[in-house]
Amino acid sequence: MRKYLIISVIIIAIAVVAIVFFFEKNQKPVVGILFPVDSATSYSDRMAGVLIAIRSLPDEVKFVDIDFNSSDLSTVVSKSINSGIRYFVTFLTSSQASELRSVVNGKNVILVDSQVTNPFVINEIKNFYTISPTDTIQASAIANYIHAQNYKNVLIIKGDQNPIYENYLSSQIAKDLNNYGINSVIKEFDQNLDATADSVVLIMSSERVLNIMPRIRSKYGNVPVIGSDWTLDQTLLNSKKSNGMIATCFADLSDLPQSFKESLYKIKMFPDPSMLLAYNATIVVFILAKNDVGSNDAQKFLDSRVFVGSNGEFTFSNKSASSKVYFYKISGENLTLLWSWR
Amino acid sequence: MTFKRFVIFLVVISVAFAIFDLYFQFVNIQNEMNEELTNLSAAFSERIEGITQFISIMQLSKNITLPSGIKGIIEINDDGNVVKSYGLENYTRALYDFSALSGTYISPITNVDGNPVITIATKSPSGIIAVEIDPRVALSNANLYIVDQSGFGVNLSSNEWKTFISVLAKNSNFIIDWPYLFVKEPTYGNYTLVNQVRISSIIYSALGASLPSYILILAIFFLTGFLYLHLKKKDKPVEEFLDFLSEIKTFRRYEGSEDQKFVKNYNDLVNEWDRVSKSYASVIDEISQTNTDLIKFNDLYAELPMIFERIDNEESFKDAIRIVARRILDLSKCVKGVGIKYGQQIFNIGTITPYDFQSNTKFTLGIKTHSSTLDFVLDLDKFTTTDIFKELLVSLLHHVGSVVSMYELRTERNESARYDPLTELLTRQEFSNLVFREIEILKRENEQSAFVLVDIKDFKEFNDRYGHFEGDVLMKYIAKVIKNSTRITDISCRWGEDSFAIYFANFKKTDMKTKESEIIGKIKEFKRSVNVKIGVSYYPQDGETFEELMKMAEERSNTQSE
Repeated sequence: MRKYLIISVIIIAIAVVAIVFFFEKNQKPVVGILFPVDSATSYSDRMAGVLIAIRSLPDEVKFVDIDFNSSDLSTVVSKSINSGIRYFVTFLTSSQASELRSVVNGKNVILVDSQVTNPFVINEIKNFYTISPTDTIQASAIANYIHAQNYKNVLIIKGDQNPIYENYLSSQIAKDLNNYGINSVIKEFDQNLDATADSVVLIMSSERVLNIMPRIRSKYGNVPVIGSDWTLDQTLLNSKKSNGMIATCFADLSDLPQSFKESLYKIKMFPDPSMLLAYNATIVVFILAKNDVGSNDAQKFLDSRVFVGSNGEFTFSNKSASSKVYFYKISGENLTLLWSWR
Repeated sequence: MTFKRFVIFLVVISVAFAIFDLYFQFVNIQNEMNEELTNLSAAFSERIEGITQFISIMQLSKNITLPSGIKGIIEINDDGNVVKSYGLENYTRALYDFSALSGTYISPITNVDGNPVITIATKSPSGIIAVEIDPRVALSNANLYIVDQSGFGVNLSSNEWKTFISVLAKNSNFIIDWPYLFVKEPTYGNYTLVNQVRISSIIYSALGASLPSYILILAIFFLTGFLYLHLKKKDKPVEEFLDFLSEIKTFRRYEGSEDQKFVKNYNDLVNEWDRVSKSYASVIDEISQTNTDLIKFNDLYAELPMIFERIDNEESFKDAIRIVARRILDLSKCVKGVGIKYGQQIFNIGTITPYDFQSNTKFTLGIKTHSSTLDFVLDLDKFTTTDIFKELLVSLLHHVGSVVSMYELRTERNESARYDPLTELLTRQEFSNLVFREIEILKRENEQSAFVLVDIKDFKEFNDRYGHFEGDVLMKYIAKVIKNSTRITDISCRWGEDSFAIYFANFKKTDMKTKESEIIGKIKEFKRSVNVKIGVSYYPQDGETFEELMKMAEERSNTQSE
């Protein structure tokens, strides 16, 4: 009987070691998909972008949903890092991203975001990368577009939900407009619209845009209203209030692959820039995770690669993707490309 | 099948059964979860389809009270303009486009003031009617979520929001993402019902459901344990017996329990071995005893002639018989008494009494000797006396008889040598020996004696005349006369062929004439005419030696006239 017992123990020990070895060897890198669940803003387009991206990728990386509320972002990310997650796809505001500085700096983690565009935020978080151009580029593009359209008096209205983004981008646009000799006034979202303007720039979320658009139309009639990149999402597109508005985005919606369109049609959604950027961010994080890239090597790795996104190739430079800035006019059911800038 | 193999078989079967039962319970739980989701999906679809069907045929009046569960309603004409709306002012491009295209549309979930809202739209006779509803229902299962096409979900019975992008991205309906198991079921539109369950709770449920099986298995194990202990108890004597065998150095009996048949067989073998050994030892003892007896018998055989060789008179013969009786008694302890009857003489030793010669209760043997009978009566111990001893004894007794016979023959032969066979008087040699000793006695005692020689004259002619038979008769007659004329202390013999010698002890010369006359007178009385001469010599007057005296007697007989 003792012989059987020893043999059983040996077999079990070998099995345990083999399982552990096999598990360790086959343990996939984990990517956290960080989404807020208490936001009034609909993230369905970005979520759909991530979903389509994951479905198109090989099963070599494990994706996990990480939900957070506006109040517990740092805690959730910290716990996720402690649980071994090194790669994150995020859809943060610049303010939210700034909160994570103390949590992620010095850690061997990489965050790839599709929304944060503020250069200071991007630079102050060492492991943070964005799939969008920085607000400096966006501001230049918007000022350039206004200058090209020969508008002279620009009213810049900034929202009240993402102050870092809203303050920097509005001031940067004003600065760039000033360089072109164009007058600009910056107004808060809830201030009276009493300035003279032949064009309006909205730096706020889509909910805020839909909220303020009636006031703008009431005050300034059909003046061109240019929304920053944050404004253009499914919410905006789904509302008639955005009709005639010009949206800034970092993706070419007119050149989407047919398979992407079919995937969207199946789930009864229309493509938007946020969706495409979310798709691209997911692809980038997947490649980072698959190649087991550490935080110290991430920038070098990203700068040395060409990535194929939802609508073509893109590269990284100085922690952000170097894509064009597109201006689309929202007219009823269609988005019409007006202008692009690099 | 040995008990160990049986236990291993039982363990394997039990483990297999436990695994199978656990798997069965898992499948049950899975089926229950599937069924729950299927039912819920059917209910959800039925609800949405009901609403869709309801709004597809309705026309909004000016004042409308929204039914329970409907948060807002909007009517859009074919141009995309809002005709009427209650609690729902805007509609999405997707709503309009997909409703116009496919007849119905269900929007992703939106968060309106913290509450989940989905918009359902359908074409109606007047255009498109869309309603906003809260998808939640009262459910006891707190783990069920309704998830839209982008992976955004809300708990069906609470206000908990969650994203299920990674779950929706998987093709399988069962996704294990430790510590959760996600079971999903597509439902109306692009929605998915997701059941998020902790794997531990499933395991607990499965284990709970399998509890009766485990109790059964446990009971079987307990019973097996009892059986094992029982058999162990039963096996214990076997193990002890095996230990006994492993240490055994001599073939000996096992003193433990004999419950097992082979133990009993073993002990039977040992008993048989002991019996054979004892029998062998007994035979060896018997042989040894027989050898000892044989040695004693041989000694006695060798001693017997010597015993009887020294006999020179009757007393010594008796002593010899007594010695023989003693030797026979000493042959073995089984001989308790010996009795020998020779003629009318009885010699007994040990437990034998003269009476035993008359009763037939003891071992008896009668042997006819040369001139007598030799009867033996022996008291033999019936328990220790062996047959071979008896046979040896009988042989010995016969040999004793032979030796006695030899003694008798020798005695008889010796007697024949002393006496003349015709006259039965001493021979000349024997007469010479006796008289020689008598002369030595005469010298010491200074007595007188007379020597007489009687000679038959012309005996040859007598024989020629009357025959040798008649001559023998004459010789016997003269010998009888001499015997009748002499005392018991006197010695007479046949001196020659036709002469007789007589020694008269303490006989005076003066008495001789009378004696001579008496002898001659009686001889003359023989029926035939006989001429005898008598010569006498006297001691010590005529000589002091036998030869001198007999010579003198012969000379006087020759010179005597008839």
